[in-house]
Amino acid sequence: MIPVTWYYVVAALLFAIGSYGAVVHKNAVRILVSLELMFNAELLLLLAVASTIEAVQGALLAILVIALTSSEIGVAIPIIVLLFRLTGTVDVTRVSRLRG
Amino acid sequence: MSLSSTMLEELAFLALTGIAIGSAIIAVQARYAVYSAVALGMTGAGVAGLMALLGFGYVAAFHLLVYVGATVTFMAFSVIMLREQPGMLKNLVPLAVLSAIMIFAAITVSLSSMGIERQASTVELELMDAAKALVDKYWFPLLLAIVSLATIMIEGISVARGEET
Repeated sequence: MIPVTWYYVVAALLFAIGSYGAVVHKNAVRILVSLELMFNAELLLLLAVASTIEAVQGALLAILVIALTSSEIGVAIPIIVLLFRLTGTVDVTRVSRLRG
Repeated sequence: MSLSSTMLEELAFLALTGIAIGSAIIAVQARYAVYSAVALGMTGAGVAGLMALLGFGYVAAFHLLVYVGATVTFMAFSVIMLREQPGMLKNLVPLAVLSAIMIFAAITVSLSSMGIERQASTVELELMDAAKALVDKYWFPLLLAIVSLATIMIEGISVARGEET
């Protein structure tokens, strides 16, 4: 049996890589990809913890979270495409139209 | 010489970890965003494998079908429509590396120090039990998920038709 700590380490590593990507990139798509890496990490962590405490509830929560994250990407990508249509760029440092 | 089941499990864990972490590094460092999206799909597949190894076979299948199969593919195809933009905030790289190391250490140390261990090698998860609990006990979150997915479908059609509000 693989110790659950190993899963924690993998999840922490994935989360750290995602956080690095989210900080250094200027491209909105790259930032979204990095945030999705962080989502994968927390999903793995959720299931690793659920396997020690309450498996069924953890699995149900994971299924709902996957569905809602799919919705989130479904919203985020059209926003980025529309942003590109409006401004011609997906560089988040150059988009200032929403500033007051 | 035949491999024992524990050894096979460990080998599978190492291979899936390699796929997940390697693809994650490619996703962050790839030159083009479309390769990043494809690498994200590979990471999702690796994570799904790790879920299956934990005993959550149904969740892994759902993750593979919905997340990797539909969502990340949608992302990869959408990225093709965008012109590639310049890359990174180079002055933030040392800070980002430092924060990533601190996040890794914080998560690993805090969770490992809890000392929680699994009681059984695989999780006993019956699909019927999970479906019954979802409909009887967690109907409201299920309703919210259905409404949000329906909203996304309408939004997708609206964006594809180029409608302006």
